[in-house]
Amino acid sequence: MQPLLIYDGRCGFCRIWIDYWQRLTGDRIEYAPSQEAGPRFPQIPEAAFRQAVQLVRPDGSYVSGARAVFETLGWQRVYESASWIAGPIEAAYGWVARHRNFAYWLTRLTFGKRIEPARFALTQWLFLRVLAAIYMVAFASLAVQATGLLGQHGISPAHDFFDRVGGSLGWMRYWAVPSLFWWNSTDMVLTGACWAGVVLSAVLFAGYLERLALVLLYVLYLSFTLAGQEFLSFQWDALLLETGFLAIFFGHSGVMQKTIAWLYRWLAFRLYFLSGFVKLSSGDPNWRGLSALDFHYYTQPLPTILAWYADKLPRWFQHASTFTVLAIELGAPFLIFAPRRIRLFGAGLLLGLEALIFATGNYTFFNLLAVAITLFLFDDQALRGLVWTPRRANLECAPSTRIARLVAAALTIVILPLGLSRIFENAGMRLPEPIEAVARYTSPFQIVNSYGLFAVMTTDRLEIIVEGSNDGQQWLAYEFPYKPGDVNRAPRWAAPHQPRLDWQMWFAALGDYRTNPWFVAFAERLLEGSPDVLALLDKNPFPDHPPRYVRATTWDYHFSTWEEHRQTGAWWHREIRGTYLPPVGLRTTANRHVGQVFNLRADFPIGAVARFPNPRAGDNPAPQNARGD
Amino acid sequence: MFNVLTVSWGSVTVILVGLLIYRALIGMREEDQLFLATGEEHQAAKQQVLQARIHSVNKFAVWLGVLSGVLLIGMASLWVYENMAQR
Repeated sequence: MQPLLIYDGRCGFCRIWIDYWQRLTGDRIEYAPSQEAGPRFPQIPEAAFRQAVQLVRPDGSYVSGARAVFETLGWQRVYESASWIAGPIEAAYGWVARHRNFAYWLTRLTFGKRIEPARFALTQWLFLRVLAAIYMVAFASLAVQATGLLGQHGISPAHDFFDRVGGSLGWMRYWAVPSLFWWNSTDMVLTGACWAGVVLSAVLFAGYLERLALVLLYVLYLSFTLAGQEFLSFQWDALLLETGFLAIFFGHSGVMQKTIAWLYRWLAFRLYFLSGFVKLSSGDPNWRGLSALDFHYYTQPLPTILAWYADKLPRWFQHASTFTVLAIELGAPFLIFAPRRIRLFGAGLLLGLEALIFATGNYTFFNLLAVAITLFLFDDQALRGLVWTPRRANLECAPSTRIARLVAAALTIVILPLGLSRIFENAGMRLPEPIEAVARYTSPFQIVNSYGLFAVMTTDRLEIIVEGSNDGQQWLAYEFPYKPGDVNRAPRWAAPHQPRLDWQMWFAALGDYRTNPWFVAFAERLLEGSPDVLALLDKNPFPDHPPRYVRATTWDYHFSTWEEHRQTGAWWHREIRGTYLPPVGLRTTANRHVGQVFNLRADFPIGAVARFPNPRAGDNPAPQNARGD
Repeated sequence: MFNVLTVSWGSVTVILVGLLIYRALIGMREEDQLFLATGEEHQAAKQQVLQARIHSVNKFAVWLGVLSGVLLIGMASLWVYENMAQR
């Protein structure tokens, strides 16, 4: 005979929670409404059934109220652990029992008609498919750029980077820069690794060898982010690594599914909340004054064509939008930890924000990744009926083993405080030294990172125009595939692909060539006519032979007005700002001659590319600011 | 024309929001299990009426949602067209 929990069958609040507990306890406990079972237990007064639930034990004894609930759920040890616990719990139970109408209303509002134990088997299945698709896009996008960016004749050759770092770090190199490309970083290996990533993503998508594929994908992408230097140090690269690392621990046991789901919720909280927090903590007057979106659409790195239209919306609308963005980024993350219905509402707000960002800006696979993480705000109950799954998909929830519990606990103990340390870091505070030490030692693996986009809104769009010339008189512009150049070309759609050179040009414009040594190397490659680098461009004005000289100028770009667009068809208008990189050429006699023609200063770098702070010979070319800030 | 569309969209959306609030309020009284003592069959009948009402409100809400979306797209298209075509 099992224990029997007797409840008031006319109380809607009781029925909802009893239904939920039945699912949790299974056959271990029997349940019956007092109107039906009450007469069988004359030792319990009728009034007691109306006041609280009664648990009748197999030996005939009974307990009521909070104690009955705790025993039903198997938490009697918690209840009995200390005398000071039982009192407040019984008081709280009594209060709820006396205000059942309010409690019923609150339950319906926050949980709906029914409360189901959260299961994440379907969520996990869907998430892994989306993650596989994102990995596939990330590796395919890299495959077509790897040699141009990191190859032997690329802009920042990986093997030079490893030579430079290896010399200074000794054996620590493998911990400080954990990358497979220490052993080989030839063009063939770099490209092959990208395509291997694509194949592994396909294997993961198909649902085969999931854990092995996830481990290899993480290791490969980590290797690339470190070999890629400034070209792979964007926030979404770190976010993909953090997301991919957690995914390695997915399993079919209930405890692992729940733990991982909660750790992803923790990641979602940090991602969104920090994005809002840094905007206000930076003290930027444009965010605080709600004028940030007056500038955002045309100053963001790679706007889409919809950004041109969004930029034309009235000022009051832009200010209201800025307020909404801040409200969602700072408020909605707290809904992640709220009861189900409120959490789903929060998920809707976050997904809506991501959709708008995706529509108006090319943020590579970042929005997809944010959406993938936000999937964990949903559970199987919410996704059921919306997601098609193949017959072979394993959506079973296996019993939790001891090892699974240990792994779940270990993962939580590491990830939770590390995430907290990232939040504190942004607030200018520090956690106890042991946590800071763990954060430092694990930082090369990028398993827990700091996020926060557009902390300071740029109010000017400075665009670098790179030109080549054979005579120093007539200069022809190189056209990039996605970044603004020709004013008559409409902003293009690139996402989820990331044209990494185009992106890097936006950051380069915030500084000068001295703070961006890679830019000088880029100019050098254009002078050499490197086919790998030229493949990263849209238009090469020197198809037959490379130019003798290359220069770069800075221009102030704005979206054109309706009037300008009607009259000229232009999407942009621009004004010259100045020189970014003075004319340079490879060290030849002819170049020195041109140097005289241009009446250049004695230290002017004509014919002196090799004298520049060269990324292949100088210091580690760290980016001058955080990616995406 | 743009103003007409804006007013129409605003009206439809206000009605839609009102309908959704009404739907949420009557939905609070909806039960998916009832314990009925003898003589309480009228509770089951009440629930059936409630479910029918929720069903018809749902239908209206879907139509109004679609209409609101179409009007919004219409407004955006007209706004772009008017600005592009202005001489």
